[in-house]
Amino acid sequence: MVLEASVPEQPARSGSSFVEFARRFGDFAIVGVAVSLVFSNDEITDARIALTGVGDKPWRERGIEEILIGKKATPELFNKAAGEIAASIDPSSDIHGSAAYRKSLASVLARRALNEALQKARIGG
Amino acid sequence: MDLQKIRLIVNGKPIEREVESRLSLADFLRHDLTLTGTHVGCEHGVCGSCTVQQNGAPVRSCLMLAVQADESEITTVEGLANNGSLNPLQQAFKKHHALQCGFCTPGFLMTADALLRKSGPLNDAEVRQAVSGNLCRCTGYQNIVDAIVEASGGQPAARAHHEHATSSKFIGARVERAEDHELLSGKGVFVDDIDFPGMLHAHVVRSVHARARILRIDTVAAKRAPGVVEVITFEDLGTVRKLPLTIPHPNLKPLTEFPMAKDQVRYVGEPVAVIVASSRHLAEDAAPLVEVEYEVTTACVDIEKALAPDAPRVHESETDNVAGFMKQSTGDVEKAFAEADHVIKETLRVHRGGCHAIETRGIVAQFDPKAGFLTIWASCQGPHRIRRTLLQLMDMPEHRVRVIAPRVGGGFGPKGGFYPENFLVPWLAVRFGTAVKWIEDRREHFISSRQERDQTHWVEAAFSNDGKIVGLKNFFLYDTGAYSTSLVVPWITLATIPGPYKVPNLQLEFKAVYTNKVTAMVVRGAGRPQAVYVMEKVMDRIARELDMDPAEVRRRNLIQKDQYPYSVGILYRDNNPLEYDSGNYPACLEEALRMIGYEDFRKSQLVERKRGVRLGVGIAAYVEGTGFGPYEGGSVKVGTDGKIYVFTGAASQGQGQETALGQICADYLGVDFQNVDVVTGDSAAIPYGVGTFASRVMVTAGNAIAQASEQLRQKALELAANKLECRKEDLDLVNGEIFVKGTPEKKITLRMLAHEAANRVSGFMVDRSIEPGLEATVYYSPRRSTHSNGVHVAVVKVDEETGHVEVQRYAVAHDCGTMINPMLVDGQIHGGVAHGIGNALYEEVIHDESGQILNGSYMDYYLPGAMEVPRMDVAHLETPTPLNPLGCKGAGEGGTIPAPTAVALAIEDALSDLRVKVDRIPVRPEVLLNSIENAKREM
Repeated sequence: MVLEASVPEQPARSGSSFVEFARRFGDFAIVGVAVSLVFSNDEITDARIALTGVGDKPWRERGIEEILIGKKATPELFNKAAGEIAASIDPSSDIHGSAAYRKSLASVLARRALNEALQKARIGG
Repeated sequence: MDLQKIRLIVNGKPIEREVESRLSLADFLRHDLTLTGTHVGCEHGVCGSCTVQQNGAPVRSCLMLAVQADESEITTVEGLANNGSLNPLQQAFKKHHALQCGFCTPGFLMTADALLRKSGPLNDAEVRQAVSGNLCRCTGYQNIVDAIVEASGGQPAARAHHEHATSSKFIGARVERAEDHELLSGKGVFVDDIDFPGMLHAHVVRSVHARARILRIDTVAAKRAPGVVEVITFEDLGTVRKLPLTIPHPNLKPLTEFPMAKDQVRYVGEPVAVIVASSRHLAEDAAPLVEVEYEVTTACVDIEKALAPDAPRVHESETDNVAGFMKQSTGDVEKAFAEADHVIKETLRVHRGGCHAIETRGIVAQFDPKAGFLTIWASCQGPHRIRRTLLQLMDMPEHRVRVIAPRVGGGFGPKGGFYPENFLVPWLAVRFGTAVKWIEDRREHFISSRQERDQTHWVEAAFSNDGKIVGLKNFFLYDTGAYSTSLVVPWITLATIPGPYKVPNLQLEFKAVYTNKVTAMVVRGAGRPQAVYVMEKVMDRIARELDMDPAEVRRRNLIQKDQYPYSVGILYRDNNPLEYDSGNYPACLEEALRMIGYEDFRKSQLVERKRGVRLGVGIAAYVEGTGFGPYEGGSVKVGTDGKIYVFTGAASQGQGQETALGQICADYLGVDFQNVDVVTGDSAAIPYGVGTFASRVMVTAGNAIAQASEQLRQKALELAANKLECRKEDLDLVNGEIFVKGTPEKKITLRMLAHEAANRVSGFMVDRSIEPGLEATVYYSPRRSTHSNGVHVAVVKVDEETGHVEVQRYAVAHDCGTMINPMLVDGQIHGGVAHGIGNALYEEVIHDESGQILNGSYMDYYLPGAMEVPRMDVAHLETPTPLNPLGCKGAGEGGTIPAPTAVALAIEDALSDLRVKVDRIPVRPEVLLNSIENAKREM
């Protein structure tokens, strides 16, 4: 049983985003991507990326985080990171979406979440 | 039994009860406390109909146990009204026509009431989000949203008001509904609200296989289970007949079903046994104890594979899976194709959804063995038809069988059918000499209620360089499911294909095919949405081939205003030559385009596309044959209490018959609408009736009531002339009083006349040959079908990276002839469009290869909610039909018919530069994304 969850206060130059895809508003997401980025100047100093709907539990993508950490946030970087997610996850198929579709969604949503997190960090910083 | 004591406050009253610990709060409120205003629609927490408030917060009472309400305060819809008067939220619902069948309404009210208590003025978007967890099948949400916005102190979106120049007072007016007060206060009586002491409960054990032989059924253990009275299988029914065809046809095999499977099951959900117990819970508890041994065989699921020589045969007695067929043609198709400038081909598929009235089916049958009287309350669309079919299956005197449709929580077609349970429940009531109840649950609805729309079309169209269609060939397969009912759906499809367009040469053909799926039947639209898809797809293909604007192609092909009556050259489903009576199709097209701002949209579409935003517009026009026969009756009577009573067999499932038919009576008789009481759906109220389907009620019952009211008026004037000793011509009837023109003090009320007419002095001779009673009955039979028409235009946004589609804007220009109540017509359109958007994007019953339904819950089968259905602009054009005195054509299905097509074509339009083809409805995002990616690869 979960007894406690704590969310640490985020550094000033940080942004997070959660993007999900569902057929209808409010439905259980077919795929969802949560992203948190911390910046120092333009450089990503910390990155967290986690997905839903691609496995039997929420799925953290440490390999993708490593691609991001220490780099400058550019569209090219986000495209590369998001693109690699499809290869690193192994979702199963059901009536709501095949494995291939979930992989494709994961990449698209990850890119959007990264961009949104960056936007928020800019506004916040 | 595990009992627990609970203490709670319900609607301000302290309650202390002992309840079973497993009892849901919904069942506790409804059946223990008889607070039946809280309704159960899905039993798995998705539809929201059962929403009540616990300590002021909305909760789903179907997901909560009664014991979880211990020591809390529960408010139900019955607690909203203050001393019988509606609260401001309820009043806003009435004013905005925010309810139709009223079944989901209590859930919306309780959700909104809780919201309003903690919020200030709200806007459209905020309200939509707040009620996105409540499902409504009738209203299309727009009026619900407006009502809640207004009740919050916000400003509801402006709406177009349509004023009508009529000489009468009520016909054509936006009269608020007579039904609403009862439904808004939770007092409407639906079938599951009817309980009798000692009533038994039936649970149907259904086949778990799509195609199997029944080797053995063992009911011994189930019979021993607590509370079980009896378990019935086919053998127990004795001499039993198969259900009759709904509508026979020489080309249709009459392969129908027994009320329970005999030795073979043909779809998942077919009844194999019925458990009768003292409660629904105990009957369901015993279900797993019924042991059925099956020999499972390969099922036939896909219509396109069903005609292969080696396909499993759904009916072993037959040589193939063809249930029926039809071929019709006009002109010289081969010549037209040979001489045409262009020919195109398309293969189009439309899949099946369900009706999904938020109230499921249900029956209560009560047999009084002493009087030999059987009374049946059924959630149905035509009690007289249920009775007539029942009398074919049971040998009982007609006058001892009464069928009543109480409040019905939506119908949409499938509730017009006769199902095994319609026989089984009355049969059980007679057998046990008591009342028996059966209520379908949502899971059963998915596997046992009729469904529709599975068709595959192969269409070829020939057209000229100027975009005019010269010939059309179409062959299609129709999935009729496991058993025959009629050929109505594919016949309507066939005859609806030409639509509002001039197609001089036609060759149309279908085969109806058996599959191991639940039997198909009409669902709102009834074969027409598929036909519109075929024809409008052809229009868009012509535009694409010739690089013309899609609106312009349609303009060039539409039947013009001066071409009525227009003969299409084929037979319609009423077996008459298809002839459009009246209309103005070009005006409808231009009005719909104007509302959506078509020219401006085309400009902004290009701008947006450069920004990476893909918008598209889709146009779909239709002609709907409405007002089918054979007849409907109207009986109008002045009661001895002075009220005017109108009786008709055209039962209401939320359309507002009690209001619209009352308006007609009020005008034709000369009384106040408020004094008219319309009784629909009771076989004891009028001897003959047909029912509510095919947008037919205003044509048939409406004209019957108009004529009966007129006859009654004449009779009243004659009686009054006798009484007041003057000439009939010197009298006038206004507001329920008859007076001598120019001498208004010389008068008599209708009420007094009713007493006079009923109670003439015993034994005395009367000096005039007027029949007793102040009443008149007319059965109106239309000569031929009327034809409503309209044009829908949808604007969608497509996410080319995910395949997600959002319907952003929607315009409807519609012509159903004379409108009795434009507010009700709006409601029909809104709800119909929502259903059509469901068909376009969300609703699909998915079967696996063995015929199992994979998405039989509202978690997996997507009904559109308030966030998925856009605001709609509706314009009414009124071209009265010359075919009936009122000029009505019918408005029940026009909202649904073109909607899936308008959305599908808008999606293609959004992706026109990629030449993405959408040839399957519903459009699933994954399939669309694959098409987009394929198209991009090919570019």
